[in-house]
Parts: sequence; structure tokens; C-alpha cells
Amino acid sequence: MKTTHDTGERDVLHAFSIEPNRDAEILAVYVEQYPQYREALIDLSIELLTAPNLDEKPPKIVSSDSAGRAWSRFQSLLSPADPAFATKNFAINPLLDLSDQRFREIAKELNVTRLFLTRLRDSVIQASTLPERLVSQVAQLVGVGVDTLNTALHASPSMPTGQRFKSDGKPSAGKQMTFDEAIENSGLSEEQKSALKAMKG
Amino acid sequence: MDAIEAARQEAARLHDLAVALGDDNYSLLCFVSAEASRREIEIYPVSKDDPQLKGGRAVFDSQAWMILYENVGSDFDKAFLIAHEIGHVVLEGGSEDSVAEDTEPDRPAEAPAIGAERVADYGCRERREVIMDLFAREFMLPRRLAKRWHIEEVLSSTAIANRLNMPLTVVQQQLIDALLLPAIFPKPQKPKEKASVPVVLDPSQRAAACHHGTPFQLQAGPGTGKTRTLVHRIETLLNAGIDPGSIVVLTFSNKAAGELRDRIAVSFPKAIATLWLGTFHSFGLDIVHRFHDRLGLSENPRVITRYEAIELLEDEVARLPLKHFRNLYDPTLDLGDMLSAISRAKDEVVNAAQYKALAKAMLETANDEQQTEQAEKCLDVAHLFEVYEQLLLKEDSVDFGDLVSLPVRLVEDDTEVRKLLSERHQHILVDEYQDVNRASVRLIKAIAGEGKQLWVVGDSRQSIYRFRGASSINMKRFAQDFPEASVGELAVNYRSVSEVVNLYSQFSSGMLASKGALPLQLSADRGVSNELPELRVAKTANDEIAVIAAAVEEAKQQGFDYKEQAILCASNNRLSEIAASFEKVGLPVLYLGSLFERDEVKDLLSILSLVTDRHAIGLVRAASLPDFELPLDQLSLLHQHIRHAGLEPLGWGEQVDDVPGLLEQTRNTLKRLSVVLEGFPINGNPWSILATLIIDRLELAKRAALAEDLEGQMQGIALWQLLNFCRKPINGKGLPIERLLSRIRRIVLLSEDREMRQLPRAALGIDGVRLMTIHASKGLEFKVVHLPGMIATGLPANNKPPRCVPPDGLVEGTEGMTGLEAIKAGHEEEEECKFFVAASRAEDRLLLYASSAQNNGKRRNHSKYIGRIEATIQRNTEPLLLFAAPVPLEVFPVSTKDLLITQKQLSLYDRCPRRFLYTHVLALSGRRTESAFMKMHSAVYDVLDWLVRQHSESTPTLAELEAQYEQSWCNKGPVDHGYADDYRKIGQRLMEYLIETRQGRQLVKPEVLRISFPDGEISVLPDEITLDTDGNHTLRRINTGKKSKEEYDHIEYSILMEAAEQHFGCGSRVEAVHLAGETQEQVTITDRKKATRLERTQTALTAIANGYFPEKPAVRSCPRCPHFFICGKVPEGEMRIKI
Repeated sequence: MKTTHDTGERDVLHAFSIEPNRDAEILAVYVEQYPQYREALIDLSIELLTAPNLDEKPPKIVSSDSAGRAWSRFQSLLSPADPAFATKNFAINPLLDLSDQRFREIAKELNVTRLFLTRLRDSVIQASTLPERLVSQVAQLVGVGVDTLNTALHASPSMPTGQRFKSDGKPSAGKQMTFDEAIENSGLSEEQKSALKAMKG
Repeated sequence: MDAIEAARQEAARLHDLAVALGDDNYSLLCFVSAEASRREIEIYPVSKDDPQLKGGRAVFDSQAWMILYENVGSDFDKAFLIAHEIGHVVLEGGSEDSVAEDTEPDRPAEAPAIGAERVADYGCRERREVIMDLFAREFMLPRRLAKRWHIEEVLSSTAIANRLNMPLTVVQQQLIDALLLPAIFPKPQKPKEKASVPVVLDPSQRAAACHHGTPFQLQAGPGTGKTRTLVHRIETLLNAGIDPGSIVVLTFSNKAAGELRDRIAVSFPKAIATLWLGTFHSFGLDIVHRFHDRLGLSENPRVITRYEAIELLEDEVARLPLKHFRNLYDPTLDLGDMLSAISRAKDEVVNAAQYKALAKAMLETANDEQQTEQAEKCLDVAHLFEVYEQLLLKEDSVDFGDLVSLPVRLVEDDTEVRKLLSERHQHILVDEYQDVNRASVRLIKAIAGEGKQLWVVGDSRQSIYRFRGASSINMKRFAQDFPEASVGELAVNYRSVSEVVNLYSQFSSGMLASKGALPLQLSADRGVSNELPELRVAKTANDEIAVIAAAVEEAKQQGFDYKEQAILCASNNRLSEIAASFEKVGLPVLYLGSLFERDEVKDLLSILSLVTDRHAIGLVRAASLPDFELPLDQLSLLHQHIRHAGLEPLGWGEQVDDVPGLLEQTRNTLKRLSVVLEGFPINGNPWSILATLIIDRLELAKRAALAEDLEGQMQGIALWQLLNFCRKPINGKGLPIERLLSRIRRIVLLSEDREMRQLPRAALGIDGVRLMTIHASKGLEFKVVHLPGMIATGLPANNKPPRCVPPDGLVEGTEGMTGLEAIKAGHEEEEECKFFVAASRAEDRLLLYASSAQNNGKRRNHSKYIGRIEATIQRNTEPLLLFAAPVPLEVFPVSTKDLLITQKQLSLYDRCPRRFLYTHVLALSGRRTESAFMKMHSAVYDVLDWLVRQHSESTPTLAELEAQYEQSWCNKGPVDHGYADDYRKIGQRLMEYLIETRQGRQLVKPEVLRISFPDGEISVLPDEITLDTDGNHTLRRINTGKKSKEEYDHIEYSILMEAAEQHFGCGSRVEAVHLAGETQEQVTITDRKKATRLERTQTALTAIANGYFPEKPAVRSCPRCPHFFICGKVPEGEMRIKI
């Protein structure tokens, strides 16, 4: 256990501790946003969970229920190789929230390949290189505000849902590319490429 | 049909559909892409490090409904990745993403039956990846198609590979699956299975499944629906909302885990992704992976088998101060025995330091010679244990014992680990609790704590795995280990008719295992059959087999198919005998036997050996194959030529025309054989070479595919298993083929090939009588069970304690007993359990067999168990017999004029006549890969030869001796070895000792002495002769090893004594010198024994003159014989003895 925390970490830990709904999903958000405080966050969440809670159900319910499930989620966060690692990615990404059908439709309506759209979804494209016109078009199609979409696009590259990795092979979900690079390697037709480049204004 | 087969059949179906729709299946990339687009899946090639690939080689994105694959490699590589991902969509619905990290297009459908893969098994995710690989391969080249192309269109594997631009190994693996294994057909749905009838439990089952609140032990007798209860228990938990990720189910075997998994998947398909289901070993391995850094291991330590451990330790033995386990010639068996002892210690969570302490304590309290020896043996093991543990750590490896003992230590000592594990694994269920070792229970205790949510099921009366470290106290001690435990039992037997249930229930009341268990009170749901189990009594043991054969046939007439009957033997010994007899009679029997001793396997291994063996002894076996028959004298000419010409391996192929005396037909045959072996490099991959031989060059796969008889099918299965075994490369120095052959010898020597007697799934449909040991029958059931060998020495068998008895106090629960006593106490209990298990396998009929007379006519007593079940059986003392026509003894005509053989040669004949034939008649100078030990011996023998040549009458000076030793060492010794110095010192000491024994003796030059017999003469050349102070001569026999217990039973000593007497008169002596053991002893043999052995010598000579050279197989000798792989067949032709 670390005994000294730097200010940044303290703030983050404090923010987490006052979250109204401190479940596994929120923890995952924090861990993603602040990977450097990962262990401290997890330690804290475990502590908080075991602290007596006056709202808790009486202990005579024997089955593990929510506590157990939360535990198993925490455990799985400790080691991504655990078969129990099945954290669902939470919904602060409006693109991820889309139904499968809608996602594919939007790709068509935007006149891009599905691959290109997934690059947007997974924040693989450096948000600073994205043309505003494109972002507002996407936001409109998805049905969210431009700011909301931008927040998602600016987030660090996310891990996909329900996937499992070997503990040594770090997923290269961390690499990003520029908008121009994305245009070239997303299987777009020449016509689609020109249309996108034109958006740069 | 299991999930893998189902996936493959679906893939084949889709392939055919695609072809019917007009897709071109010769262009794999287009073919696969067409299938994807038919499903409206978009496909994109991306660069290798594209972030969207998430570190894998291909990805399926469920939201975008697209597949990405790395744009690297050949069209096949890409097509495979796409097809792999399509597999995920087809078989899993496409609602989840997947990433393909490691694909293996040529992987087999099953892990080999032997080796570390068996333990590790596949985790849930990996299993899915395996299934997808097989799906992909099948989609691109269905087995049916591959078979048709190979057989009907006569395409070789290379031709098929070219046609599809598919790698050769992938094509060959598919052909192997298609041709060597019988096809599996989907079973027609039985009507009652169509409706999903909810499973109804009886009250005892329900009570057990629904128990909660306290630790629970379910005592479940045979056939009481234990698995059903266990499944229901798990489903009860899942229905209550328990997170499957917090449930752990521990089974006895991976097979059992797989079956459970399939059953639960029916109702809870998603749960099995996170529910942990596997063996203790797998669970332990999981823990080792998770906390590897606390154990000083990497993330992926290697799991090594016993024979791999021996290969590691072989070199270390030279440096250890071992007293009793000092077989300098070949330490394999000693190491095997010691490793078994170490494994036993790990079962009890005892480490090297503790072991040594126990051994030392034993030594201090030892009273007599036997106790001292036991203690010293334990100390030997302790020394090895220390070195072994260090070596494992250094090699980043763990052995099977570590898989449980290391986690136990971790969990017991580290509170953080304990907390993490107990929080994650909240519900623990254990199957076959009577078979877990003490370490496993400690692990459970540490994780489950009080065990309120612990649920175990077992049957103390079926505890037959003590030899594997299972602890018999676990069941009895459950309430002590987990206070406040409840105990339940299942009340109804659903398997057997009541007469069978009565038999083993009656037996159970007197069983030692019944102490501390609830009494067995089963009601037989099936009711009475009005047929009592029967004891059929035959005369001799051979008659017994004939009686069983008749009974099998009788049952068949009564409506029991062969495959519904099983013959269960208490030990391995009789299995091959019974199998052979049944085959002769024409009854189909499903028994794979020791894989490496099967004819077709030895044929192939002999041919394989030709690639690296410059002496080409494999030709002897090849020349007895129907396609390549050669007369023996012709073969001898070739071998002579090979010996003198000093060729490279396979070099004989080009010299066929140059060998004088060969007939035209011989030359043609040899040339054809040479073509079969064409193009195989000396360092070639054994699997590839065997695959090519089996599929293309010898067309054995085709033959197996077309075989309609059981034997032909079994041959195919054997070849499949051989190939599966050879896939994994073996680490080490030297050529791959030689390493493989050495490995096989070692496995047979250690009897590890027993594990390979499990049949691949595809074989299970074959209609043959099942033949197996009682141990192998665990968990199975058969309509008719035949149980032979119910004789006094059969069941219970005599106790054979292991060579390394555990030190006193090692085995928990044996306080106050010595290690040996602990073993003995367990033995009797276990033998009863064996009988109980065997009898309870029977559903409808149970037949027991006993022979009443020994081979010498003396009476043979029944097993004492018969007396205990007398009331429940009927006797048949005049049973029917079914005999095969006796097979005449094989004779090899030998032209023997004035037969003259040396005593060493005769000694070899005595040990194994067939080996004599190969070595001295056919003059095959076979040589095995030499271990460092053997090389050291060679060097020592070299010096001995020199002594005989130069100093048979004199004593060399120290300088001369050292010079010669130096020379011999450089020529023959293991000079490159890491511990060369240690070996050298050992060899040096052997030399020194020999010289010491010669001190003060007057040496006489040995000359050949002859002894006459009616059929020939024996020429005797002693190693040394001394003339002693009393005027008598001593003939000395020098051995490099240690004197064995029955040393003077060896026929050579009797011959030496006879020779001494005849030539030097009554006072002469024979002396045996053993260099490693440093003993020098006068040989004493009673007159009676000597006369018997001389008679044996005479008989041997007569037999040789008449051409009898039968095989004398022995588990501990055959794998060490240079002719191990060729033994069994000899070509026809005239021969002459060569001296």
C-alpha cells in the first residue's frame, strides 16, 4: 500500500469516493481515464465496498449476489487474463451506444466504410485532426450534441466490448492515427476519399 | 459428437452449399470472401499493427458486422484468418466481438494423449479459438473432399496443396483426420430427446442439490446419478442469481470437465464462459499463472512431464552423492522411481527441506539393516529433490505435483493471495472427492475457509487412485476439515439390475473403505433380472481366456453387441494376451494396447530410422513388409556391404547396383524402397516425414480409410495417434528423428505409454469388445462386464511397494506407522475398492472368471473375495470354451555345422533369443543414441579391451593407465558434456578400482576354453584369469555396473564355473568384479542350480540348431534393446551363424 499520494492522485481518489454509484462500471471509467492511478483506485474501491453501509441488506442472505459479482469484477480488473474479465464498456460513447443496425446505416449515410466509422468510434483517429463538418454531421446522424460527441472522440482509445487478451500482449489500443492516415487505410473508394478530404474546408 | 466435430460438420456443410451456389473453392481467398459477403459481412485488409486489430491478427466487430485481418502473408494465410472469424459468426451468432491472436491452421482436433498438454487443457476462450481454427480448415478443405481427391482422383498431398495453394502441413493434417479416423455420423435424434423434458430428481438427489448453509459432502454410490445431481446443483446456484464467475467446479479429468461443460451449456450457454470448470491441476496452473511473480516464475512456465524431468535430471545424477540409486549405465528407471517419490511428497505438500529432515529422522531411529536401507534410499531421494527444485526454477518449469503444491503454499502463506482467491471463488464444488490428494484439500481449505459454500461428492469405496497420491483420509476427515459439515447420500441406483447391486452391496459391508462411511443402502431402480452374476471356473489361465471368449459370443447371441461388453483386468499384464487371443478367434476387440509396440507403428518407426541410421538396420523390418519382401541372405549381403563401405544414412540407395551377389529382383525392390525415402533430409521433421510416408509414399492412410474390418480401422487409429504424438518437437541436442526415437524408448521404459491407451473420440463407435484395466473403466458402464483373474494372486494382488517408500510421517493420517506400513495399509483397502469399482460397472450381466490350476498342474485358489459374495452368485464349473487353432512356433532355418558359440553370446540368447538372432545371426550392429553415461561406459570398456590385449599378464604402470584412459576418454567419452569432468572422475574411479582388485594377484593370459554339448560347443574366454597362492585358478568376470540381487542366476556364471572346473580342476573359482559397486566376490552356486543352468545351456544350443528364436518381451529390457523398433518381424531365408 502506498502511503504517500501526490495531489493529482488524491483529487482523483476523492472524486471517485464521492461518486453516488460506485460500482464496477464507474470504476472502469476512472481506471481508463487515469490509468496511472489504477492500483490506488482499485484499492480504494475495495475499501469502500467493505466499509459498513447502513443501507445494506441484512446479512442473512447467504448467496453472494451483488457483492460477489462486484468482487469478481474487481478481481478481473486486476488481471486482464482472468476469464472473468468481462467488463462491459460503459456508455459515454454515443457511437458505441448505437444499435448494430443503426451503426451500419449511419456508415452508409455518411458515405464511409464501416471500418472508418469504427475508427471514429474507438477514438483511433486523433480528434484534433477531424474536420468540424464531419463531426457535426456524425453528431446529427447519431442524435447527440456536438460537444458530447467531441468528448467521446477525445477520450483515450477504448478497449472493445467483451474481449479478452493475453496478459503479455498489450492490446495496441493506444495507437492513434491522423484523419489523413485514416482516409488512406480504411478501404474507402476514391470518391469517398475526395468527399472526406473536401470536408477539411 | 462434441463441439469440435459439430463445428467441422457445419463448416463442411457450408462448403458444399457454397460450391453448389457456384463459388470457386480452388481460390481460397475468393471462396472465403464470397461466404462473408453472402452473410453481408464486410472484410477489410489492414496493416499488421493497425490499432483496430487490438493486438491480434484478425478481428470480428459485431457492431459494424465486419472482419478485419492483417494484410500479411499468402492468400491462404489471409483466407484462414477470415474463415476463422466467420466461424465465430456462424457458431456463436455474431453478437460479440472476437480477436484471433494465435491461429494454427494445422492443429489437430485433439491434444495428444500424452504429455503436458493433457494437464493444461484449453481454457474456455482457447477452446473456442481451437474450434474456429478447425472450422476454418474444414471450410476450405472438407475432409470428405480431401478423401475423395486423394482416393478417387489419386492426388498426392502435394498435388492437393498445389491445387489449393494451401500449405502442405495443413493439407496433410486434414488428410490424416479424414483417412485414418472413422467418420463420425450425426446420431439420429432419439424421439424422447426431441422434447426438452425437464430432468426429474429423486428426493435424495434433490436434497443434495439444494443444500445450502453448511459444508456438504455427498456420498454417492455407483450409478446413483451423481453427475445429474452435480449438474443440478450448479444450475440451482445459477438460477439463484449467483455470478457464474464465482463458481469453481473441480473434476477428476479433463474429459469429465468437458462432459459437464456440455451438459450445463444446454441450459446456461453464457454461464460457461465464466464458470470455472476443470481439474485441480488446471486450477492450480491457473493460480500459478495469476501469481507467477510471487513464485519466481514467468507468466508462462513450462509444465513438464516425468520423462522430460528425467531428461533434465539425467545429467545431474552424475554429480549427486547417491548411495542406492546409482545405476550408472542407464539412470532412467532409478530417476523415474525417485521422481515418483518426489511427486508423492508434493501430494502431501512436503518440500525438499522437509523431506530431507524426515529422511534424516528416519536414519537416526533405524534399528536394523532394512530400516537403514529404507532411510538411506529416502536420503538419496532428498538429495535429488533439492537439485530438482533448483533446476525447475532455473528452467522456469513446474511439474504436475507443483501444480497443486505451489498454490497451496502460496495460499497458506500469503494472506493477500488468499483474500483474492477466496473472494473470487466463492462456491467450490468438487467431484470424485475420494480421489483428490491431500494438497488439493488443503488448497480448498485455504480458499473456502469454513467451507459454508463448499459442496463435494465422492465415494470412498471407489478410491482406486492411491498410487497417484490420492489420500484416503479426505472423505473420512471431511467433518474435521470443515466443522459443522452435513453429510448426505444418494439412495437409488439407476444403472444395474438388483442382482448386481446385491453383489457389491454385500461385498461393501466388509470393506475397509466402508469404515467412516455411511453404509451402502441402495435400491435398484431397474428391479430384478432373474439372472444371478456368475463365476465361471476354467482350468488353466489359457483356458480362462477361451472361456471368456465363449461367454462374449454367448452374450452376443443373447442380444448384447460386442461394444456393449467389456473385459476388465486388474492389471495391464494380461490385456495384450487377451487381445491377441481374441483376434485369433475372430472376435472384434477394441484395445489399442501399447502404441509403440504395435506392428504398423514399429514398421513406420523402423522405416523412419533409416533416415538417420547409417547401419540401416530398419531394412530388416522393411524387408518383411508385403510390398518390399527380400530374402534374408540377400539382405545380409547388403548389410555386409553397408558395414564395410561406411556410408551416410540412406547412402545404400545409390549403391544397390554395386553390391556383389544381389539378384535382379532384390535390386529392384531396394530401389523402390529407396524411392519411398527419397528427399528426406537427415535432420528432417519426424511428423512431416511420417505424414508423407503414411499418406503418399506407402499409401497406408488410404488403406485405413478403405478398411472394413476392425483391425484395419484400429491400425488407422494407431497411426493417427502416432502422428499426434510426433507433432510436438522435442527439445535437446541431436537430430530430431533420433530424439524422437529416444523419447519413445524412454516412454515405454517408464510405462508412460499407458496413458496413450485412451482412444480418440472417433474410435468410440467401433463395434468391438472393450478391453481395459479396472482403472480405465472408472466412470464408465457396460451392459455386460467380464472380470477375469479372480484368483488368490489376482485380486487382491500382492502388495508391491514402490522402490522409494515415503519417509515415515510423510503421508498425513499415518501417524505412528512407518512409510512402508502406510503403503501396505492402503494397499488392501484399495484392492477391495478395485473389485467394487469393477463389479459396479455392470448394467445387466456380471461374469467373474477364475482359473483353477497353475501351469504345473498344482491347484490354484480362488480370490478370497469370492467367499464374501458367495450368496449372490451362481457357479459354473463346466463352462464353454472357444479356442483358436494353435499357431505353430516360428522357425528360422539356420545352417549350423559345428555350432560354436561364445559364452557371452549364449548369455544373450538366454536373456532374449530374438535379440540373439538380430545381433549374432543377422549381425546387425544396432546402436542407440548414447547418453553421457553410456559413452562413459564405452570409454571404460575401451580401457578394459586394452588391458586384455596388452596387459593380460602384467600390470600397467600408473602412467600407462592414465595415458590409455586419456585416449579412450577422448575417443569415446562424453567430452562435450557440461559435466564431463564428473563423468570422467566416475570412469576413472572404475578403472582405479579394477587395478586395485588386481593388486597382489598373479595374472595368467586367458585362453579360449571349450565346453562340449550334444548340439554344439561353447567357447569361453574369461575376462581375466589369476593363479592364486593356493595353486588354484580364478576366472574373473568384470562388470562395470553394480551387482544385482540375482546376479549369479545369470547363465554365464554357471558356464564359467563349468569351464573352470573342466580345465583347471576342482579347486578353481569364479570371481565377479563389479566396478561401480566396488565389489569383488567369489561366485557360489549350488550344484543343483548349476546343473539346471547347464541343462538350460544345452536346451539353448539345441534350440539354436533348430532355428527357434522366440521373442522374450520384458518391459524393462525391450526399450533398451538396440533392436527395439525392428523386433517382431524377420524376412524369410537361409541364415548362418556368425561368430
